[in-house]
Amino acid sequence: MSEEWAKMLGSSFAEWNKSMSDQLAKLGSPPLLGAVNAEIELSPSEVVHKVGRIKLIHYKPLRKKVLPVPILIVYALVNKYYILDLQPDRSVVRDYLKQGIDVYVIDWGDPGPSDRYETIGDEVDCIDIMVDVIRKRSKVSKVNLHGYCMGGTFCTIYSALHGEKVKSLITQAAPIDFSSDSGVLTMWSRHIDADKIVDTFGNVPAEFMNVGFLLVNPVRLLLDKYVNFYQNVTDKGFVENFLRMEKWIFDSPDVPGESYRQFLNDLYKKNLLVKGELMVGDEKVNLKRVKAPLLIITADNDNLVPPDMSRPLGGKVSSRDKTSMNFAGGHIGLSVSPRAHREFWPKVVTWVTKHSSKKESRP
Amino acid sequence: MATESISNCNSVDSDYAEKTYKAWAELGKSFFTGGLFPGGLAGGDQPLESWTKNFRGLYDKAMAFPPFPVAGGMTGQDPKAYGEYIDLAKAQAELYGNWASMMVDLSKAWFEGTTSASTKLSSTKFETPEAYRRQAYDLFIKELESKFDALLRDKKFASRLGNLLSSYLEVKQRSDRLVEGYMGLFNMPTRTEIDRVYKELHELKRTVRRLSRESGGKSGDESDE
Repeated sequence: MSEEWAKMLGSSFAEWNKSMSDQLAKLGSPPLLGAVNAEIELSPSEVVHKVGRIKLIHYKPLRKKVLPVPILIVYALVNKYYILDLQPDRSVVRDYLKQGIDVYVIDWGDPGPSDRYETIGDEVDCIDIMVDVIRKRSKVSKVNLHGYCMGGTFCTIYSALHGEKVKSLITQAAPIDFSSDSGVLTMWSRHIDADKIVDTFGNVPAEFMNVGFLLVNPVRLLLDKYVNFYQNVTDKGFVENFLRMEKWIFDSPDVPGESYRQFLNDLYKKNLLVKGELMVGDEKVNLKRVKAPLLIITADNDNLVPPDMSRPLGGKVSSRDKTSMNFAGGHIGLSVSPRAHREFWPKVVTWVTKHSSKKESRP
Repeated sequence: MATESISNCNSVDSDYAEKTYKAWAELGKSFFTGGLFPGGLAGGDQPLESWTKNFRGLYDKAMAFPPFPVAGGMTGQDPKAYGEYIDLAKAQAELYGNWASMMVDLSKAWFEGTTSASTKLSSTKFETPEAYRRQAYDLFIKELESKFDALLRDKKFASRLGNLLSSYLEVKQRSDRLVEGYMGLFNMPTRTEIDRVYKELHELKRTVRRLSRESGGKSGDESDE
């Protein structure tokens, strides 16, 4: 390194160092230097059933009088269910509980190497087991199903195969029709060799999935987000929310290999679900068999599952009661933004409440 | 490089080293002059020569003196294993090529975004330094996002991303295969063997689940009810 370069770098570093010291002095005691509460504040709950690593969680009601028909929330295999219950003021679970809805959630857990042969059929079968447990506990013949993202696809498949147990179906940012190129992931998936990924890794590593999700919008997710964090580092509430979100984003499980293979090949690449050709276990999934009232939830700026991947479901099912609700936000903001909980979720809760009231006794 | 063509590893060591060296040199040349630096290198071919010289020194040594005695045994006795090393080296070269190509794409989007932001900034007047700082950053992000979005939605980019991923997986598969070879020498269970056990275990779990539901008992593996 030449002398000039060394001087220049030394001088730049000194300037940068001074600038940082000045900024820190101005900040006084930024939250990161003190105690912050970045813990996920889950609503009180208990595990009421287990199938291997997969748990059925039941939330403690917030009202004395609980509506007769419970709701089962099914999240995706990527990331964890608690994005729907991140903290009290940003919790879809709590929004339901506050209205007296009885809430259950499936926690898919962390798949180990022995789960690599788990297929979509196994996951749908697991939903069926959990639905049976809920029906027995609540003494009802049908439950409401709320599926988020990939969980919405699973719930839709389940409703086509076991419609007699579904009171209503709510799909939140659920990928159903993969024919459109509006989603970057859909386009990329056509060039990705899912077989090779699964044959190489077994279960698909969480880190691998995360890189893919971050690459969908690298400028916002890898740069702007952290600049924004730095700009708000004096705001304790902001820092705590930010850290909770980061915790959730990177607390992601591996994805069972065979499920991933089937999801990519049969859905993303061949679009078999809307074509009526998807095989789950030994059964063909026919969306026309979905007759339950349907609520399709989408987010305008969802770059993982754009609305045109979810909305076509309405035209494929036989349900007479069909509603669409759209939120002006993104895939995750739909669940965690304060505006969503203030303006959007009350409408969803009203819809669900309407379908939770009429009890149907067990046959 | 076809492993079948190796009849006697010991006698063809130097031939294969030479051929592989040439293949690497070609790949290195295209990498340096065609990928990162389309206009060629400022210092002529000197950096490339130095790189290939280093590679040759390392590579020849690796062939003549394998780092592990067991590798020596494998390469000396099993032509297939020797071919595996060479194929791994080729797969790695392809991975580096694809990685470089991806980096070129991303760097180009970054460069175009920042250039576009600078051009727009130079023709805008700001009332205060604070306004400049805030708006300049917003513009910078907006322009970058727009260029990256166009790139990420480009089918050619998607194809290159797929190639990069495939070449990475190829390297991993080949490395894993070599490790399995070593494991076999020590009579240790390989991943393939363990996977077979996992598959059987999964089938058993599925059967238990089905039988327990059919028998009307507990509907899953276990229950806390």
